[in-house]
Order: sequence, then structure tokens, then C-alpha cells
Amino acid sequence: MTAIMRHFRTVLANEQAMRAASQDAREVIRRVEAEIHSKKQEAIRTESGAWSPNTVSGNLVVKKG
Amino acid sequence: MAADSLKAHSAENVTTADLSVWPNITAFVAGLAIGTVIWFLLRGWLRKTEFRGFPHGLVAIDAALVAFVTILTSVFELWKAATWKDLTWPGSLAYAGVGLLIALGVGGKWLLSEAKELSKKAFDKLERKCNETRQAYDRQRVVEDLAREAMTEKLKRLQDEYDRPTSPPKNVAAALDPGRQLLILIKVLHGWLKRHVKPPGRLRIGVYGLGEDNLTLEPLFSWDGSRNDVFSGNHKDRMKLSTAADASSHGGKSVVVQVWQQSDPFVIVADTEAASREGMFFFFREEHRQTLKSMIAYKHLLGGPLRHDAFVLTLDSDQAGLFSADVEKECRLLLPAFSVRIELELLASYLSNTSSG
Repeated sequence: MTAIMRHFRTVLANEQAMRAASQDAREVIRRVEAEIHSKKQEAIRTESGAWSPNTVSGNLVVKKG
Repeated sequence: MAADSLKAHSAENVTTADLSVWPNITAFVAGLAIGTVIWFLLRGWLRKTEFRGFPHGLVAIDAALVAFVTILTSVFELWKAATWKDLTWPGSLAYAGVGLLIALGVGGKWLLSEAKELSKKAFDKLERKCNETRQAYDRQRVVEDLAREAMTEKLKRLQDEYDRPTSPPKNVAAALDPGRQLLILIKVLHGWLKRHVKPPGRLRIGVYGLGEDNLTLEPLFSWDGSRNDVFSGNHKDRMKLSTAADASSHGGKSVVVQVWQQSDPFVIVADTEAASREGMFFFFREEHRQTLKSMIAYKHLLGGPLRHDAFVLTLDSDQAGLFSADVEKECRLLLPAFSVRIELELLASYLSNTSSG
């Protein structure tokens, strides 16, 4: 085992860092989920016939089918 | 004389015995056959070129054919007596023409339906491809979003230090804290993939490295979402790297050993029970059949001067088939992307530790 892998083991066993990391990781996942949800809502709104600022002025995006 | 001739050609003078029906019927059938062959060739061409769109030209030709047949049969009807009596071969040709046009007309309708079907198939294929591309893009975006948000955690810690009037170096070092960042990455990876596990299913993440004997792979870390050190570590014989003698077979070794010794960085066992039946996976204990139903292992080789070092990330679950389809694709993106970031934080942590110590 090399010195860096020994250090890896030590870092991974740090209880204090582990507790802080758990909370940070939950926050990261919450933010990404919120962002994905928001993007999905935006996509649904755009595809369902609502006016989108990305379309050519005055054109409506009409849902097909 | 002319009047006599006209009289001779009149319908009244034609008897059934004078009629030569068979050449006309034969010609009609021949016309039908030629028309059918033409449409078969056109059909072949449509299929070969994977025609897509609406065949406007074909519709126009089809409509024109109907008009032609109508005109031709009308003329034919008017001059029927004369045609049947004196003009046997021209009459037969006319019959052949009618047969050909009818075949072309019917074939045209059939081809339209073919073209519609081909267009639908092409559209469905494009739609599938579009959906696959969108899903691949979404997966890639998830990796980027997770990596960015994980980095944002570190950034926020540094921004807090920036806001202070004076920030001692040890505070800056604590804000950078690569060890904490490394653990965040591992736990984000676990937490994100845990979303795919149906409650009350279990997902464990593990990090393996080479042990002190340089021969046995050992768990450096394991986590199930609430507890760490969740691997028993009781099966060291299964974690020993294979020697040259038994390198050709799995020899009941762990998946971690398998991924360590092969060139492909991934070993994915979507269904351990099925893999076990095929001799591709070995349960260390019988009760593992209930708790270890799907697993994935990824080997990350450290780069630069550390290229002889490596670690293995493992994920396992009691949910059969978890690491298949979309989750497998997501893992194939997430594990390499996160491993590089883990290596970066590991190196930063190691260097800051050695330079300060």
C-alpha cells in the first residue's frame, strides 16, 4: 500500500468530516433535484402551447399529436 | 359504297361467332401483369430508399390514371362493334392498355399505403432516436449538475472566508478541506443513485484499494446511507489478487478482484442470481443471495506519477436488476466523472498534509 492510499484510508475514516459531508451531500442532491424539476416544468410549459420567449415573436409553440 | 361499308361495320351486323374474345382477354391479363410488375419494382425502390414523406407525385399520377382509364373505356365503348369486328389487334392492344392502367391504378393505391407505412416507420425510428438522444443528454446534464453543485459547496466555504476581514491560513485550509470534499463526492454519488432504489431497498457504496501486503484488496470505506463500515471484511481469501496460475478463471474471486485485473474498468452484474447460474458470479455466503442482487464495480487508475495506484468504487443493492438499463448508463457516466474528482481531492489532501506535516 502506497502512502497516498494510506492517506486515502485516513481521510475516509474521518468521522467529523463524514458528518459534515453527509449534510452537504443531501443539500447538493436537493438542489440538483430542484433544478431538474424546474427544467422539466419549463419544458412541459413550453411544449403545451404556452408562449415561449425563445420562439419567434408572435409564434406559438403548439403541442403536436 | 361508303354507306355500305359503314353499314357493314354497324353493330347490327356483328354476331357472336364473329367476336374474337380470347386475344382481348389475354391482352388484358398481360397488361395487368406488366402493370403489376412495374408497381412491384416501384415498391422495391420505395423500400430500398426508405422513402419518407408524402408522395405527392404518386397521387397526381394515380388521379391521372383514373381519368385515362375513364376516357379510354368510353372511347372503347363507343367503337366497340367496329373494334371487335375488324380491328382485332388494335382492340387487343386497347384491352392490354386498359389492363395496364387498371393495374397501375390499383397498384398506385397500394403504393400510397406502402409509402405511408414507410414514412411512419421512419418517423417512429427518428422519434426513438430523438428520445434516446434526449435521455443521454439528460444523463450527461445530471453528471454536470451534481459535479457543479458539489463544487459549489466548496466555493461557499471559501466565499465565507472571503467575507471575513482577515482570514488566517488555517481557516482557508479548513474551507478548502479536500478530505471533506472527497467524502461529499462519494456521498453525493450514493445519495443520487439511492433515488433509484425502491424503499425499503438498500444501496451500499464501497471504496477498495490494495492492502499492506500488496496482494489483497481491502475496503477503505463503505456506507449504506446511515452507517459506515458496512462490509464484514471476512473473506480475504476471495479478495486476493489471482496468481498467474489461476488468472484465466474467476476462481470464486470477488468482483472487485475481477475488475482490478481486467482491462475494462467496469464489471456490472445486473442480476447476481442469473450471473451465478452462469458461473460468472460467486456468492461468498448463501444468505447473500437475498441481500446482494445487483452490483457494479469501477476501477479508477490514478494518473501522473501515481499511475501504479488505483481504487475501486463498488455499489451493490438488494434490488435485482438495479444496475441495468438507464441506471447502468447513468453509472457509466457518473463513476468515471466522480472518480477523477475524488482523485483530485485526494491528491490535494495528501499534498497539503505532507507539506504542512
